[in-house]
Amino acid sequence: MAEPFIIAENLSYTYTDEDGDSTDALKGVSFTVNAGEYVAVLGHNGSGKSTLAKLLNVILTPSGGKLTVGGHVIHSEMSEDEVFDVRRDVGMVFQNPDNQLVATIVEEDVAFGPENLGIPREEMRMRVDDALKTVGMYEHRANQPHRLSGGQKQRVAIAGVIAMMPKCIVFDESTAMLDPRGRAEVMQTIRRLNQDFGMTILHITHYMDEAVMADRILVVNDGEIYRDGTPKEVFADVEGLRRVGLDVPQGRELMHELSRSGIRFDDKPIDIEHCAELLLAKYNALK
Amino acid sequence: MTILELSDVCYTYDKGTPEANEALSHIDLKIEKGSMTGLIGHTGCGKSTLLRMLNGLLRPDSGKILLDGKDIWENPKEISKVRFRVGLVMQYPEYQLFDETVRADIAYGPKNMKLDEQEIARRVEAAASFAGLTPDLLDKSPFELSGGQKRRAAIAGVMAMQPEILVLDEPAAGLDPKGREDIFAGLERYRRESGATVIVVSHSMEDMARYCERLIVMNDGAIYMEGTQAQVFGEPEKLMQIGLGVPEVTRLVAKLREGGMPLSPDIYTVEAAKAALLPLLGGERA
Repeated sequence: MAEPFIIAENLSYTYTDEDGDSTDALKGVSFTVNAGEYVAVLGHNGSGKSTLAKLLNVILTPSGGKLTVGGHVIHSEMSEDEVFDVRRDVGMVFQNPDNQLVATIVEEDVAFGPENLGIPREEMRMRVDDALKTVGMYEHRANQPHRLSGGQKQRVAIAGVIAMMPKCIVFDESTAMLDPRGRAEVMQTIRRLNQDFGMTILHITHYMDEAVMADRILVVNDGEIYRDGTPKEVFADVEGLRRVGLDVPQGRELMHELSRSGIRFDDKPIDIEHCAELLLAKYNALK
Repeated sequence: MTILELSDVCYTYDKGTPEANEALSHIDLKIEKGSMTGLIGHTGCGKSTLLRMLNGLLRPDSGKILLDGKDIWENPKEISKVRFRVGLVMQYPEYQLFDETVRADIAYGPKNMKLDEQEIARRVEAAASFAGLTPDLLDKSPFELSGGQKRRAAIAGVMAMQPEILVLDEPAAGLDPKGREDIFAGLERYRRESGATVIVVSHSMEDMARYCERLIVMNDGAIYMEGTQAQVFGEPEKLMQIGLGVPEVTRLVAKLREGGMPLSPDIYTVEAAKAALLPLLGGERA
């Protein structure tokens, strides 16, 4: 039986600006993410999904409710050691590949995190090499980060996180600034970390085609969980997703448009193979 | 009518040094007046260099850039005039918002053009409307706006100069689906109503299919493919060779054709696919 890794119970967060005006970024959300699960988080800009990411890594602490991450309860009175423990369990990869690399050589950059953990030299060497191999950047280990492409830089940033051996990685729009090739590289890496290493993944994204690859999708809207289900369940509600400023994969959109014009299908597939099967079956039945 | 023509344009960064890097290699290109053209290619393919050429921020090593038939570098002292005629919106332009109000920010360009107050006010309002900013936002600080609104304010600032050609480098990058749609729909309306020519860089084939009638694909500093949507999307293998693809709905249509459905291969949007499929599935024509 899968163990819960993240448990949010009635979790809320309120931002207060310098004028004392407050905004509720999260309004009492409850959900669980099991260890080893791959969850995509969707929501329009300002929906509260980045606030959620920051709470998981104790960049912010809850204003209300309870958040447990890897057995640690996140709260504002945590000691430095406790915060440290959570951050060792939960790694973060951010949007801009240029803001995340600190060293002048790729492998030094990857070593930066474990070095701070006080990992012995030999083990560190091994961790750095393994991490770079995992993301497919080992042959670039002696290169300068600024010479790499966006996708390669993001993979080095991921390697730096992997080298810390976290149980969970949160990707906060880590593909947003990449070209299609870079996006594909990073998505492949995310999938490997989940499937081959059993890492828990939370992937915040605006790309529906990326969300489809997850086991489960959480849709956040105006600080609340709007939908929580498998990609197929979530994308079944085309109109609802549009209302909250999101979109669906094109195959699903086409099937939805056809059914609005009176053509009925037994299922609501999201991948084009299944869409094609249903459409061809309908066509052949009429012929 | 051709408004912009590039003829055998070459450019190398750090020319004559060991670091020399050929960014553009013999580029020939014609852009039709009033069209919306999509520019596609991976990071490092030369498209940002190309965009900087179009408004004279970079000067070609060889070759010519003709605006309305005239070489923009004929008189290098006049190059700043070209920058009013070809407006360039860089990536993440919202980082460049700086003024106290959105109105003042959008007015910055027209002010530099030494227009009178009335004309400036008129242009600011028109540009804000094209960019989809409601009048109440104009008196706010740019920092009070949402990410998508900031982006649109920055685009409005370039539109307010009423350039004949508006060039945008990934204007929808990082925005949510609604934000993307707002940007592209606004550009299309701007093109239609103002008659301006628009050149836009995007990685989304789905957006390209919806809004751009002509496409240019760049690879390794050269034009890799160029033409109508049918000409470019008609060669999916060639796109795939450089890690690009066709819209998802076009891939679906290809599968349906393989399965024996009599469909045209030139279907690039969900709307077009729906219209073609309805009669085949016993529905009414859309």
